[in-house]
Amino acid sequence: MPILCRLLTSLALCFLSRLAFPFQEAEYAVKAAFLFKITKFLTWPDSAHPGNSSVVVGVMTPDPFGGYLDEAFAGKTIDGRSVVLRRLSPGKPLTDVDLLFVPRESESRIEDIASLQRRRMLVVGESPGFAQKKGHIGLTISGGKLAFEINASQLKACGFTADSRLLQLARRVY
Amino acid sequence: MNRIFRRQSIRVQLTAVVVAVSVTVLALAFTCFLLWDGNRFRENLVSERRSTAELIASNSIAALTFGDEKASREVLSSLQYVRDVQGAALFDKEGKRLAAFARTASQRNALKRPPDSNAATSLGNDIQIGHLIRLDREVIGSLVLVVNLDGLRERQQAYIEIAVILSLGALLLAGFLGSTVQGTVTNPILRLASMMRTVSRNRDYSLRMPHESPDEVGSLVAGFNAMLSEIQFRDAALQIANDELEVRVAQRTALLEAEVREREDRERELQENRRFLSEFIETAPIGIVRLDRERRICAANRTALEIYGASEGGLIGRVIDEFHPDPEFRHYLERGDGVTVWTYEGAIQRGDGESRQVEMAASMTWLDGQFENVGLFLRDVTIERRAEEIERAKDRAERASQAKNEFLSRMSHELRTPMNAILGFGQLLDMEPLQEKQKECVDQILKGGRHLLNLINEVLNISRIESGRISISLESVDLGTVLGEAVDLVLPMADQRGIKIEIALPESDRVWVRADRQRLSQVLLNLLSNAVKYNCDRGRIFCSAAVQENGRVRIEIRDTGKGIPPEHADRIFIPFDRLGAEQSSVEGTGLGLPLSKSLAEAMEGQLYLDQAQAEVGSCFVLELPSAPDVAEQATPQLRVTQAEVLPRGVQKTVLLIEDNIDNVRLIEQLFASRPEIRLLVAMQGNLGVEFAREHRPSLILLDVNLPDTTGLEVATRLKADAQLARTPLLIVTADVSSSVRAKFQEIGCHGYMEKPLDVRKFLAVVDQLLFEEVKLSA
Repeated sequence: MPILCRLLTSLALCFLSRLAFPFQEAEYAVKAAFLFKITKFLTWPDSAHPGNSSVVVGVMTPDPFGGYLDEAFAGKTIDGRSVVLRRLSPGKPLTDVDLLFVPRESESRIEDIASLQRRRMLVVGESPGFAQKKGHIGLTISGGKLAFEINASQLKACGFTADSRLLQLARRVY
Repeated sequence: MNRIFRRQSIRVQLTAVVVAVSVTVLALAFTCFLLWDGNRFRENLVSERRSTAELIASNSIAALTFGDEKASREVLSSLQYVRDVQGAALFDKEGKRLAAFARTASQRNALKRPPDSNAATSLGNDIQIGHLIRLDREVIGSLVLVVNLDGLRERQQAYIEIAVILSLGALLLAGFLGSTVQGTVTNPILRLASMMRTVSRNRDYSLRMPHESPDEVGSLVAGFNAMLSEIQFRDAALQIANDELEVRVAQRTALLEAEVREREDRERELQENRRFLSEFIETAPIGIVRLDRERRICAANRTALEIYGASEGGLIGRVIDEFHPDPEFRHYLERGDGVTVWTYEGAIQRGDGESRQVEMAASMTWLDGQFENVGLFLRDVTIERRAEEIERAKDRAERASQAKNEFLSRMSHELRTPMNAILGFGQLLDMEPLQEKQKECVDQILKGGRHLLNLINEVLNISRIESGRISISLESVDLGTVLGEAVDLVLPMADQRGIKIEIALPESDRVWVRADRQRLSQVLLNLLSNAVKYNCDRGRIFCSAAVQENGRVRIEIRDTGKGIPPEHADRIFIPFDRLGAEQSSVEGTGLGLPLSKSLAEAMEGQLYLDQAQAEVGSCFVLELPSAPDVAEQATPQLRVTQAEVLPRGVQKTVLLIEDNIDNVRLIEQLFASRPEIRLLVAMQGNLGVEFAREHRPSLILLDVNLPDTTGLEVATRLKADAQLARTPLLIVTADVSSSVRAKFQEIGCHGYMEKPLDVRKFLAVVDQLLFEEVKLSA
């Protein structure tokens, strides 16, 4: 009997997760596309990715994108450079990463904004207030639509140049 | 339009031309300017708005990238301050409209489709400018701008207003120039024109135009003046010539009138002549026909119509060949080569089917191998030719008849000459005392000979009658006498068979008929001998005669024999048809009845079989015209009289001119019993004449057919000799034709003896002539 109950519960969960999953999937497909699009409105500091090396896009595990990130960046280039995706488990060094996405669950692994300045690394997160406290750009969902907040002063401090049109679109600029 | 323009004066025409040219040039120039300006305005507008689009696109890149509709709308809303932009729309990469701006709702609805390229397309009054928005060479969206051309319209309206004002100015200027400047050119011409009108209206050629300028108008005026002078001069000359002409016309008119009168007289005369001539032609006794080139008859006179047997309508227009089937006639018409007159005789085929013989003379005129005119002169010689033909036929018939006659004459001689010997010697033999048996033989010879002689005579007679050469001398003949003689002749034969002959004549003494005595006797004898021959033994013969009411005498000879079956009645008068009697013992030639019938007809009488009158046997009827009662005339023929014995001791010389040795022997034998007769024989005619001159015979016996000359010739020579003219000349011949006999009688021959000789008769005649001669000489 308890076995039957567990089976039924797992089936129901399975169905529930099935129901929630499409939304989560659509959200991360949009977010993956956003990650790529944003690179067009930002210019990395001259010291970043020395030589002709690839642009390294890193995602802290657990990766919420599934395959969407790979799809969004497949065959694409940034500033004429090829893109390399990298899944970053805890403890792994963040060296050579040019664009870092910090999922909600891994927010704690980021120290604070000030520590980012040396890194020449664009940090995008999705937890509330992320652009204000920890990274450069924070993604939010508002009215069913994806919006973002930019920490322009931090970007400038890190040597990034942001397109003014990007700033116009941002929900909030710090 | 052009006509109306040409009617205007030169002044108006010039002004109109100047105004028209000015307005046209202005209109053309202005139109070109408008087109050029409009084009340029458009190009500028499109160029400017393309820049605007570029700007809007640049501003909307981020909004497009992140699909931000609000930001997009904000970017587009800035366009509301650009007046000519009527609407705009932003489309994302998939063609979905992100934002739109429009001044009207319909405009907004129209902006639904993204552009395909950066092209500007005209949509009526609007221009739609498309713009593809790129980011890093990648098309991320597109923009459409709709611009209207109201600005251009306003601008063009302003230009047109200016152009109208300018045109009016140009018109005024042109009118002014037309009325002032051109006056200097046109005024002299107008004056010239007015002067011309005056001259032509008043016919006053003394007017002159004053000289004005040395230009073309000036020389025109000079030319006009010169022309007027010339006309004035010619006018005067013409007037003089006119006056002269009138005088001459009057003279000539008088002459002409005289000539006309003369000509009219001549015309009348000519018409008279023509009328006479046409009447002459029309009534001419010869046919006159005219043909045209196709040989059709185009004119014909009355006689020609008669000859062709057609009415005028039936003849005119027909081809002459239709009437002349003779190819020779066509040949005449077809041969050209200058043969202008020819004559022809031939038959024509008339419309009524009758054929006529015509004699024709033709006169033809030829032109280029084809005749121009043909006149045919026709004479109908049908009757003449027929008469000639008849004449020729008659001649031929006569010649043939003559030939036949001669043939008959010769034949009779040739046949009768041997008969002469047969019968002559037979008779001589008969006179000799003979044994019974010899006597029978001689009788048979004589009987056969006589029958043959009779046959020959009848054949000759019938031939002669048929050829119409029989000589009939009609006279009044006492029928009773002739009938009596004939009955006497057949009586011995009748007696032999016990047949009685009864004669019943009218009670009045004599019945006179008009006939040839000898021929009548012959006919009656024939009928009577037939009645005896075909009668039965001890039968009867009835002879009767009666004068009928119509003045004709009807003689009937009836027998009591077998009679003639009715089916044979029509055959009895056919020569040699003896109706089967040739099988019987009855002698006959089959020529007796045909001959009798012919003779009766020759004597204007009739001979026929009247079966109705005969109860038994047959009844022949001879009808003859009756004749007045006359005393019987002496018969011209030699009559045999009783021979007288010559005085003894008187020696008489008889000359015989005869070539046939048999006949010579016969006569020698005959004279052998007469020692007082010395016979001299000459076998040739010439020799005979010589003998006669030498021996002076008392009697000359002459044969007609001689080897060296003819008997007639000999007789003529003998009679021509004065010493021999009175010597009796007896013709002894087998030629019994009456024509020959007549010829000898003309010459004066004393007698005519037919061969074969009847010995007794011959001796009697010889004795008579010798006796007469003796008497004469005594």
